[in-house]
Amino acid sequence: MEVMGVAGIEERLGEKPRKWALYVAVLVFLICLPLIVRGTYYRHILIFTLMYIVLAQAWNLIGGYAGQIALGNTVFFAIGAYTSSILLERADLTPWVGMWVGAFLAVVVSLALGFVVLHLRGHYFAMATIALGEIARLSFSNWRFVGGAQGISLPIHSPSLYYMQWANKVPYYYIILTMAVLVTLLVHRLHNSRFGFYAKAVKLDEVAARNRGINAFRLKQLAFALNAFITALVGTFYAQYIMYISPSSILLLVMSILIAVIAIVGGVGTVAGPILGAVFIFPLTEFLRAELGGLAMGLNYILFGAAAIFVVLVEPFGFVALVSRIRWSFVRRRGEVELGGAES
Amino acid sequence: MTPGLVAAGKSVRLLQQLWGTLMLAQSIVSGLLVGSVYALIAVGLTLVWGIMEIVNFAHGSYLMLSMYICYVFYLLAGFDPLLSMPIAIIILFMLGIITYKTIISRIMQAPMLFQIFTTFGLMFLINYAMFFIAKPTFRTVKISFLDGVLKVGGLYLDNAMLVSSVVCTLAFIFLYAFLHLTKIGKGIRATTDNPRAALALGVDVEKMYAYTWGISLALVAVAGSVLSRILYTHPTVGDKFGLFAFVAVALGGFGSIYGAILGGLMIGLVGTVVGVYAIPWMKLPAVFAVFVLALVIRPQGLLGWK
Repeated sequence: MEVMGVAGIEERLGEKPRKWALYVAVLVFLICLPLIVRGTYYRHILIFTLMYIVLAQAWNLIGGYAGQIALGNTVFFAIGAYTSSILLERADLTPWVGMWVGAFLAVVVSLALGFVVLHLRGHYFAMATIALGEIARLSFSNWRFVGGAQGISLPIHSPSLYYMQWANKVPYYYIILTMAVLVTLLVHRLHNSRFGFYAKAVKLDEVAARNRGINAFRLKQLAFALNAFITALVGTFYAQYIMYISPSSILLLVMSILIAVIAIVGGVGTVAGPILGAVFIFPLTEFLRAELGGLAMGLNYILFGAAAIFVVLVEPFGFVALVSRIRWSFVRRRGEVELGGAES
Repeated sequence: MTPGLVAAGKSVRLLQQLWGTLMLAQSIVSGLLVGSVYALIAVGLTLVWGIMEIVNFAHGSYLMLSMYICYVFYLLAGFDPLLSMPIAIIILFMLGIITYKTIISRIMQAPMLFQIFTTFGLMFLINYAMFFIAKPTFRTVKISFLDGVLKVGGLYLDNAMLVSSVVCTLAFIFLYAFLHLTKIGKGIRATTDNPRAALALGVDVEKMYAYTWGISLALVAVAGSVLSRILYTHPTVGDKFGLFAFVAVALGGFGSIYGAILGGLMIGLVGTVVGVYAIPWMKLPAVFAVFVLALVIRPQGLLGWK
């Protein structure tokens, strides 16, 4: 046992710098990516993939770690998008400030809603959040102040940092890349923090966790609020990038589900899951939509539905599990060889 | 003021009052008629939930499928959907059993998260497969049989709506008789009460699960057939009804059949009354708001037991 322990530590010490080197390499690659990818359309796919990484990471906090299946994330997305857009349109306020106002509003709303719905468990919570999303969609469609069903077109200015508007896609790419990196780092920190462990406990058995002195409700509220905060920031980014928002483009149940499915296909409750899920699902469905869109409407969604069923039936713990299973099979083979040597 | 004017004013006020009560009665009756269809859809959902604690998010998609089946028969043979209803029922019954055998039986033991997303995946698959096959065109079944408006003592009743709720009521009676009088029905009820005890007493639980799925979708086929006489058939037509079914089920209490019926009627009422007396677009948000409130105040539902 002793010997194995020491060997383990040595291995870990050797592994850590290697891991960091890998992360830095990936980051450098991502920073250089717009230099390689020149086509506007491909850059658009890159930006949206990164956007869904951030959204799925945020969802992962409430859905993956705390185990509360929230399907109304478009509410927070819309709050972020609408707040900054209205402030920009009516008060000429820079979205760099507007995005924080929107995120703050989203947190307030999430705390208020969470106070009501976070008492619900399982299916009940999922359905209540779906209902909230639908209420928001219908209300925004009929609320004249936010543009009603027509939505809001952002005023076009000459490219400037103040208005977060550029003629080409590269600055948007770097903004969303920064967000993705920061949010991933945050989730990574939370993963190994008290929050992460408590959340796991609540997810496994809420009653048992409460009996151990964990304030499950506060924990869920924290996860919900963080999720709302990040999602609202992405909402502002989306509004600035697309320049047009309307209830029928951003308040759709499909989007809430897509966010969750990305995290699930990747692997719930893991840091890498949302990244793997987004990288796999988004470009694939987008390519299918673009390439086969003329041939068949909604083929991407057919595939999306099939993928969701397939993943659940074949590898319920997502890509992360698949990757680690493959890695473990290598490790085990190596381990067997070593063990065989020790026994003889 | 002359007495004549006063009398005229009085009679106008009386008329207004009469009009007011008539309108209220009208909206209540219309609400109950619509509600009976919601109730039937909700009963299918609650049956599945009661026996295996799985929420079928694709419920509305199956409704849409049955509407398309009726449309196809109308197109090919000019059948009234009431005539093609038995065919739709048989097809959907088989579909239910196939869905259970191929997909649902494998996720019975899976965590809730995966159960939810499997049925969501099904919803996407069915909806967009229908987009693919039928194109997003609005289709109508034009029928003359039992069309028009019936006038009963100052109330106007839409004949098509009346027929729908009569058919739905008949379906409830059939379901009740089936669950209480037949062996399979009794088996389903036993399994719903306690699967292990049912298994110990020799009930083929697996079979009961499959039958429940079949029956759940057969009920949807009944609702779909009558709805295809009223609504446009469209690949996303079922989504709203699916959501309403959840609301009805949650209102009445998961697993409770009477609860689902009560919930469905309540949704119909809330929708129509809010639509008439408040702002028309508030109809749907009001229904969902009632849903969230009901969930929070009484999570087990009005008549729930789980």
